[in-house]
Amino acid sequence: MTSLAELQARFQRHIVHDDQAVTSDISGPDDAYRQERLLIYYRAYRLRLIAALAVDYPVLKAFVDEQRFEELATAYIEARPSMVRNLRWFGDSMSSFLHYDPRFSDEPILAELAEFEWAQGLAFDASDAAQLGFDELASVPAEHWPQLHFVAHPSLQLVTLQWNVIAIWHAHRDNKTLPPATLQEPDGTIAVWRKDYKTYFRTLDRDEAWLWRTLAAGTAFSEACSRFATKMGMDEAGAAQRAAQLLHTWVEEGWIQGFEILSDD
Amino acid sequence: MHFQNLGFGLGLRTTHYEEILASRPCVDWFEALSENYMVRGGKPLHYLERIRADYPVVLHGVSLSIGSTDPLDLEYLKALKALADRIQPAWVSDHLCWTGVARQNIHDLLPLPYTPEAVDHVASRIVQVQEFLRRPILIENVSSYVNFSQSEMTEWEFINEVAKRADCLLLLDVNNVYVSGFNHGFDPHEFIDALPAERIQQIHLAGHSNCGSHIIDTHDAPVIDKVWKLYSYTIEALGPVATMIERDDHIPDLATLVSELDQARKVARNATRIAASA
Ligand SMILES: [Fe+2]
Repeated sequence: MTSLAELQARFQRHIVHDDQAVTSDISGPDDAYRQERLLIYYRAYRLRLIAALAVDYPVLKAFVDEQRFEELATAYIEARPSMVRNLRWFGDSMSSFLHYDPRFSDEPILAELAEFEWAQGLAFDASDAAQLGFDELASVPAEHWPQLHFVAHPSLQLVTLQWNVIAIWHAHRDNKTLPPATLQEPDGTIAVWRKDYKTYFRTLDRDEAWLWRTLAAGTAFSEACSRFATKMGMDEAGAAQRAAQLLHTWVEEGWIQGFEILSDD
Repeated sequence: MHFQNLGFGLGLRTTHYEEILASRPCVDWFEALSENYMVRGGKPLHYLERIRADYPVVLHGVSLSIGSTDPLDLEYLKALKALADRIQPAWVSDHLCWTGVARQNIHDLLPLPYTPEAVDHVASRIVQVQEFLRRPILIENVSSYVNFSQSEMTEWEFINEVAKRADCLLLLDVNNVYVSGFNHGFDPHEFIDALPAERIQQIHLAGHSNCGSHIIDTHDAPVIDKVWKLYSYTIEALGPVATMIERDDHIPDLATLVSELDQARKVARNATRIAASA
């Protein structure tokens, strides 16, 4: 290693691991002075990353309170050092960290709060793409409907929640006291998406969640409809009517980027 | 190699997007933080493009890590080039520092030792970046809190050497000169006198936090009087240079920043007059 590389490695070990070896590389009258100056970098590193996480996870921060959030963020910084160029992506694995780390895993709502807040960020700066309009959909000739495959808008994220994350989110938005964590029965599927540069979310009905996942997995519309009928125990006509109604909602909300007409062979 | 003098600009901040488009403030140009727009889509890029339609924009990065001994990050450079192709900025800048090694990112502007080895290293990387981006880049002096015992020259000698060897432009942060001068006990005027005037394409002004024994470059407050004086001194020496005010924290409303920018206009006008009558 060159001397520059060695110096940078020592400097970084000080910032990340509090290793004092770099002290002798610093000019100054005495060690106390050198350590005081080095401490500026040591502190700034943590403060900057904690601040970035607070921007990504404001509801999580409010839920656990300021001090515990600092502990949680500090633990995350230790466990998952940043390998990303853009600070924007540093908080990427917060949900999985909270899910697996024994200090936090006994409070599963924390990982769910993080997952939900991160999904909003992903929706916020997902790729731009068209949103399918009703005119376009109406122009599809009837004989092509069996081969119709829908393409989800890139901003659309699905999150499954077992806890009252949404109630906590709303209380935080409205500056109200946050409710304690409670398990909800049954769990819910939440869609998060962006339309006209605003981020939205809502809870899906159970049949809706099933049909959306089936279509998003690449199943043709008519095939999905007939499986939908079986799955929900409806007759074909009832299932088709419900599917058409859901499709109408999704187009209106901008969940669908477009469609492809593919022959299924 | 000089670009045009753009006049007086502000940092583009999310909270001001709507107001900029609605009120068309008297700001000559905007500086956008490159990394905020190196995303696939969404609101930031949308607003940047709309604002770009009405104002010149320059791109200012914090993650190039030109001084790191890690290899240059080709993915980052590709994303930066794609953004530059899309936005057509008047110019692109980053800092004379390193941000991490062993692929880790400290997300800070870390200081370099002022050694011939570091000059060679940094200058050759600036050359590579300029070739890749097909444009000269501006390199900015950072605030620092330590000096390395390995240093064999002053910071301004180091900057001179790097700029000459790399044939790059400079972004002179007057506040950083003031902060580092305070922290290391040098005269900021000496720093400014020693820089290659012909390479200085842009100036940064900002506020900071005085902690008594040292000053931290926080960009969270108005520009202080002593920095205004140093700015005046700089313009007397250099003549008019594109100037912008950085504010990254405690961001006030747009009108407050526009009036601080008017202050910069006034100081620069007086300084130009003083220089002409001298
Ligand atoms: Fe700056």
